[in-house]
Amino acid sequence: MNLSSQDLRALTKPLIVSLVVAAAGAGLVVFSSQAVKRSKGEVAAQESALTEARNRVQQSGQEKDLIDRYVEPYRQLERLGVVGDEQRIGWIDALRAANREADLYGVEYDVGPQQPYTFVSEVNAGPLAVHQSIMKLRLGLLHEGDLFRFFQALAAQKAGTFSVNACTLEPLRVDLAVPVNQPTLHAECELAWITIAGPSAQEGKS
Amino acid sequence: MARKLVLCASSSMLAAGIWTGRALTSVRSFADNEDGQRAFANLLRATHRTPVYLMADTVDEDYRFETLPHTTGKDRRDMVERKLKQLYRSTPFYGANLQERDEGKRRDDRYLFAALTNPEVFNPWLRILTASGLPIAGVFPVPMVSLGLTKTLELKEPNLLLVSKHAAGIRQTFIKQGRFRISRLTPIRAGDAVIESCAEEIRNTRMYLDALNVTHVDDVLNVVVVDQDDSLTALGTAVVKGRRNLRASHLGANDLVTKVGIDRKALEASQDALHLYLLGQRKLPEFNLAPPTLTSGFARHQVSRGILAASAGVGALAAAWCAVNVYQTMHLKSEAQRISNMTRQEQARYQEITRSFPPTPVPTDKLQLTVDVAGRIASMARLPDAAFRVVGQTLDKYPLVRLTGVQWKHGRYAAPDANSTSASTAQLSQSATLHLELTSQPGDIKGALASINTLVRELGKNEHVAEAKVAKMPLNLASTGSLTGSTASARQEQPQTSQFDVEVVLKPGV
Repeated sequence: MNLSSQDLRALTKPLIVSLVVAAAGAGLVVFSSQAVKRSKGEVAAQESALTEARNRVQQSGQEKDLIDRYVEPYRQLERLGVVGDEQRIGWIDALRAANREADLYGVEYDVGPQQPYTFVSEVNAGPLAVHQSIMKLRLGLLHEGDLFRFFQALAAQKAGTFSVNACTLEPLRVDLAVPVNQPTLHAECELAWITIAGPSAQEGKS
Repeated sequence: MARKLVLCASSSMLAAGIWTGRALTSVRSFADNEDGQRAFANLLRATHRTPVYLMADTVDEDYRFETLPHTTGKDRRDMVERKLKQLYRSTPFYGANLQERDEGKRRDDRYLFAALTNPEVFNPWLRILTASGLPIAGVFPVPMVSLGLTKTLELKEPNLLLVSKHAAGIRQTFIKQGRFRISRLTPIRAGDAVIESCAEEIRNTRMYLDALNVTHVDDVLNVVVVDQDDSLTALGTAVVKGRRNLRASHLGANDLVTKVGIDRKALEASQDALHLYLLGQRKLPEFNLAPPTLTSGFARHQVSRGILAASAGVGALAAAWCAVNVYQTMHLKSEAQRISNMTRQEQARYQEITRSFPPTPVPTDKLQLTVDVAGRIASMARLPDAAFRVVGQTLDKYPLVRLTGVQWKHGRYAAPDANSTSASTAQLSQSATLHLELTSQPGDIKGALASINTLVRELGKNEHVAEAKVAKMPLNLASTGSLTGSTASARQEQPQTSQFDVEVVLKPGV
């Protein structure tokens, strides 16, 4: 079938109308279908929230047991400075006390800025925010056993929780002209003081 | 049904009406003069885009039956077209219609050929129509439109003569066994005794039919007088007077209004009103005498309407789809609201239950996780004592070896033979690099190396050690490196010392 220019002129308007109707129809169908999809998603989210709320009600007895079991250890961690803000003054005081108790020759320290805990995946912290501050120690020892006594004394101060990442021990040249009781070993150690985030501002209010 | 402009053109005038889909309205007549044509043009301007159906009521018409060999498709069309051109050279208004197939052995096709032999009668009206640009559906002969009346009135007599009064005159249409056979238009002359004149014409027609052997002299011919203005009431009686083979019945204005359904006002407006009504009722009469050039506008109109109808269908479908989606969305929103209310109730119930709980600084799950994580951190912490103990126990057995320094680390360690060294596969372990010094006899390099290897093997056998290896030998004996020294020193009697490094890795968990 050959279309003349007259035919095309006559069919232009209906064709434009049909295109507009088809485009508008398709647009409306797509828009309304997306609205259905969004509503389905909303229903699914509400169902999930309802299931969670029901589970919480059902598990409320179990939750009370958990609170009874964990609230005191949690408070203890707060008191020790493991949970909450860093207690840097407490760490320094603990260093002094540990040096004194271990009869060492003094400890030099550098504390770096707080950063995310390196082994957060190893402790399965999940959503919990765990931080560490790296402390570098330089100290003189009479014997390598002094190092362990120092760390035990530091832990006994209960100023927080720490882990020793690295230690280097080197012998010191002994000055024979000086009387006894001088260090024979030089130790450099790296500690990580670890803190866990405490209650958020919202949790603190509730 | 769509709106149509229905026309009936005769040699003296043109009747027009608007078919609205169910009724005939605005019936008017236009005289064949300048005023009439101007008025007709004005009417056309007022009927925008309405398709036109034109009836021709003239004495200049020709109907004939022809038998042609049975063919189909293009062959049939070509053959019929050749025959039409052969029969009607002087007019473009012609057409053919297959009526039946012969009973004979050849089973030939029997066609009705028809034409308006003097198109000049309609040309003034056609010129106005063409100029208006309205789509012309076709030009139809009045007898073919009259056939609609036999169906409407269920006139099933085998020999039927429809006598109808038109503006152009009295038309007699003979229908045999429901099929058109012959039609004649007789103008009514002024001053005639109309009834007697018509009766005479009908009787002559009867004799003509007998002469053609279309009817037998003993056959009864049923004459139906269609009398829309009740002016031919006495015609039936006049026709059958003294004739046994004629029967007559009369359809007056009341009959036509009640049986056909035409509006009385429209019927009274024109003598052609009844046929305008019948033309409006028919979707598209099959016998169309108009040439394709005249109906091309109507074809475009039909395609245009088809596209618009399809668009309307698509629009309706989309609207229905949207309506379903809107309904579904509203239902889902209502459902979401219902579930939300239930969730709030459960949450309120939970709040009520938890009022009796001891106060907690953080939610229970965080409480438990914090305590557990703190425990895991504490259990992971290591001091260098275990590594130093392992090293000390071994070195005690080697008095010639002296420890000059140690670097201890606790962190992720991947075994060298593991396929991957990424942090995810690495485990937390203690490792230490020992800086050692071996005192040996001068020049006894082999003995010194053997002692170092024995020491490393001894370290590796410890139950807590995962791996022990020499990190740095006193001498670089590798073929790729250079080796320098002096054999003169071998003669000295003083013992000499060799520095070497050993790397020890403890098993994970130690």
